[in-house]
Amino acid sequence: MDKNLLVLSDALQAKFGHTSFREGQKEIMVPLLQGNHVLGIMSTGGGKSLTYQLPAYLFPGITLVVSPLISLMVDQVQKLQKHGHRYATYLNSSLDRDEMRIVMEEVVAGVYQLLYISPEKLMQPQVISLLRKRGVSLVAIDEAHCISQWGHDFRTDYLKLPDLVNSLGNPLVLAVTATATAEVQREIGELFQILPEHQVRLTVNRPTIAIDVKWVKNDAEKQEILFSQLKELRMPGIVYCSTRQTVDKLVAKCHGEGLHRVSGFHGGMNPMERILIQEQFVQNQLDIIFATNAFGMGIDKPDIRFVLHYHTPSSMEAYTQEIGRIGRDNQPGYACLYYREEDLLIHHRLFAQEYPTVEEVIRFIHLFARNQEEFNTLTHEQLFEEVGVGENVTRLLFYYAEKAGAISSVHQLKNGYEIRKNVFQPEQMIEQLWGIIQQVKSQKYQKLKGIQDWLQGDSCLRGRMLTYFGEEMAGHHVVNCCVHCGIDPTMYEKKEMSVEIPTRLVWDLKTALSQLLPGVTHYEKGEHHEDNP
Amino acid sequence: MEDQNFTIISYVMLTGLAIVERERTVQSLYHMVRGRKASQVLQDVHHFVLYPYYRLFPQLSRESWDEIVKYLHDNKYIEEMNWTDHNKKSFYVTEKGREKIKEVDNEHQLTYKLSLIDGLRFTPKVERFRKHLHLVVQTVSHLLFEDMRFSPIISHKDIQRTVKQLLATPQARKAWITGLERELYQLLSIYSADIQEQLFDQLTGVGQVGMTWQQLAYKNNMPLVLFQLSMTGIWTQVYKEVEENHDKYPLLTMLIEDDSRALLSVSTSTMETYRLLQKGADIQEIAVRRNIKSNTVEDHIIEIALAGIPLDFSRWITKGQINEVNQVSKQYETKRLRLIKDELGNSYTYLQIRLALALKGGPNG
Ligand SMILES: [Zn+2]
Repeated sequence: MDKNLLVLSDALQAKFGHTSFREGQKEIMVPLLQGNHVLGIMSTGGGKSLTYQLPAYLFPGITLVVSPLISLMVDQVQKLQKHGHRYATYLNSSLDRDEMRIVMEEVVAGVYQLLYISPEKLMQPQVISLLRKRGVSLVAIDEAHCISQWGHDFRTDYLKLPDLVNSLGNPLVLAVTATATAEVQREIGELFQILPEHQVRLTVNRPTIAIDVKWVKNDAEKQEILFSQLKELRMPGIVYCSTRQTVDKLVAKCHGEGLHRVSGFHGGMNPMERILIQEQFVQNQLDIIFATNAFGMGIDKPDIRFVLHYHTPSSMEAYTQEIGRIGRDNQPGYACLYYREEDLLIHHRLFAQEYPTVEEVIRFIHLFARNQEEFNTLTHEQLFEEVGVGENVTRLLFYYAEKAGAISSVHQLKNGYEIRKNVFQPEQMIEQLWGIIQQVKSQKYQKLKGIQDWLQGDSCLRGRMLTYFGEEMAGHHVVNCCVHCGIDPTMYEKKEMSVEIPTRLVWDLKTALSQLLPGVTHYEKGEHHEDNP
Repeated sequence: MEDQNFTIISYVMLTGLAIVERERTVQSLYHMVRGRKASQVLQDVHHFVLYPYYRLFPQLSRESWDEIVKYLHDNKYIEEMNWTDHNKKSFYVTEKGREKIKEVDNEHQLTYKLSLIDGLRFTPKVERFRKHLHLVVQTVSHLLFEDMRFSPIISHKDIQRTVKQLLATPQARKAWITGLERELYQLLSIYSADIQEQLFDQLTGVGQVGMTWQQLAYKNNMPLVLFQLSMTGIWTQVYKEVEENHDKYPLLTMLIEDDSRALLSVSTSTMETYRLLQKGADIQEIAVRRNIKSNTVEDHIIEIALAGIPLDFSRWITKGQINEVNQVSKQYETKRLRLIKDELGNSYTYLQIRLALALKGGPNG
């Protein structure tokens, strides 16, 4: 056995209590331990996070995990702590200044081996210098596809990562993602200089999941099919919708139809509500979650039996990721998408909100073009009132303005931004900037077109899904493959009448409290024990 | 359910509008329920006794607000009117509007529910207390079942740290393990059975994940807004019960944060002004040093007065002057600065008048 593999196996056993690796894990970690940059593409729930959590124990320096979502970081650190791993923490905008200082002190003091960090924190020079002081062995880039402009989830703050990694003293890089087309894979490989032989790709094919599609004419028909399916299908499951309003509407309708073990989940809820609902779902207090795409990342529930798509997701990547949450226990599961061409317009609307209009681009450039000074401060208020864009669009504008050469640097201040502007001709700059934005926007439309084509074609959906991700359908035949190859719906229906969870018959405060906090009795038991060993 | 939420929220707004009619714009209530920290808004909270309305709907979007106003207009519950000596329009609540308020009040006890809420002086503290309580109950429940593998339902790091510290020593753990159930029993048994159950269902521990307010609203067959109003009031009562009876709740008392946080209810800019005022700087000096307008400094002083933060105000206004201004205000039933100033024969500055009103209405008065 390879020396590194031996080290990994021992650590796996000692730290995580597992005796064997899951598919792809050692293929990623062994080259990493040999000192190579690695790219790992494996589906969510495939055990991606172990590929940096385990090496973090083995490297002398700290391991950074760059992650785009705060909730995801908090989730992972809590999960680690829950299982007795005390070597990890996180650094992101949810911490106030004092907490941030404490964490950084602890990092430098060597308290942690694993630090989850947001790209925006990693851009702060003082953070970089403190991390250098501690010594960084590995930078793991989670959701690495966010760096690709051709990806479905491009994030401007990811683009600086290759430079930032270098400024940390050239540590090893591990890029991981659940979904990447061949094109995106190539781009990530180039940006982080990962050799093709160190790019590990597992298939996106999940043979246990049946891929169904219902072509519907209108919303009424959709709801009819939805509620008849919800009454038949084996629980638990998720219903994805594109808007919060739809989530709320369908949950209300469920209660009207007598389905009570359901709940909504979307970005408009406060953090505590979101944690509670997620936890209720994990602990089987709920059967169905109606959610926007905000739900599911980092959720630890192996027995999800179905995912329904009330609306079409914005890309093949998003769709694959969402149905990938089904049946991590490898039991059969069911995915069904309700397709209506008009639903695609929802995404057109959302894209329009995501990007500036040409008028906004013009106002934006003129905001500082007329200024003679090299350094300009633009406040949030100014941007909102004079340009008419919110914070997300603003960030995008700055990013592309830098790319187009209108400005040479941007710094975020408390109440706005400080920019260093270049000399340019306004009309030309507007044209150039608008051109770039349109190009990026058209990428989004192409992704949408991708899933539209997939849904409108009439050959095997699984086969064409694999083609999309640059894979080939392995020779063997999948039973209950897709709507075109044939699915036996009874496979996914409830076998027995569902057992109603007993509800409280009579309310009694004392009884209820003593179930939640069996204080005295338990404590006395403890004392009893000590008295009579 | 959706529509019901909309109409109820509209009626809540109608009750608030009935308080400021003829003296403010319709819009002023929007800033109120959103909880804007502007001096004018804070001043109005005290003057009109709008404590229940302050920050009642912090997330309410401008679009929803416009819909509500349109609904109230379309139904002729409110009418626009000219507002002398202002360019803006004021409004009044019609007879039909008053009838509606009565009717809705009978049906949903809105006045009572609102009377329990104090968005300025209590809700923020109550919210913090509630979060501490949730986390402590969850942690103690897991301690009791000797299963410490759980995800905390409160993600605020500072609250996690506080709870951790509270349970740091074996003696402390013993106290919580043996005493929490009893204190919760005392606290909840004050309420009727259905409220007890609603409060209990929000708690999380071993074998039970707390329900959200939306879920409880469904369970109790109530529109969410109504449930929110009722729960916000009930939690305020719960908080006050603990705060006023330290001896009965020695453990839960520890979850109440000290009042130095009252300072946090003002903006950071005001805090900075406060610091300089305490060092004896005058308004002009502060304006120059901080590079802000002296009007802004005056706004800060009013904000400080309204928040009840201790400061020597006698350098701007005497006790006698405070009384005189307030007498005029009472006599003419107005809080309009311009009218008061005219009535007092221009011998007062606007700052003095505002300060007099603020000190009378606020906790400093
Ligand atoms: Zn097929």
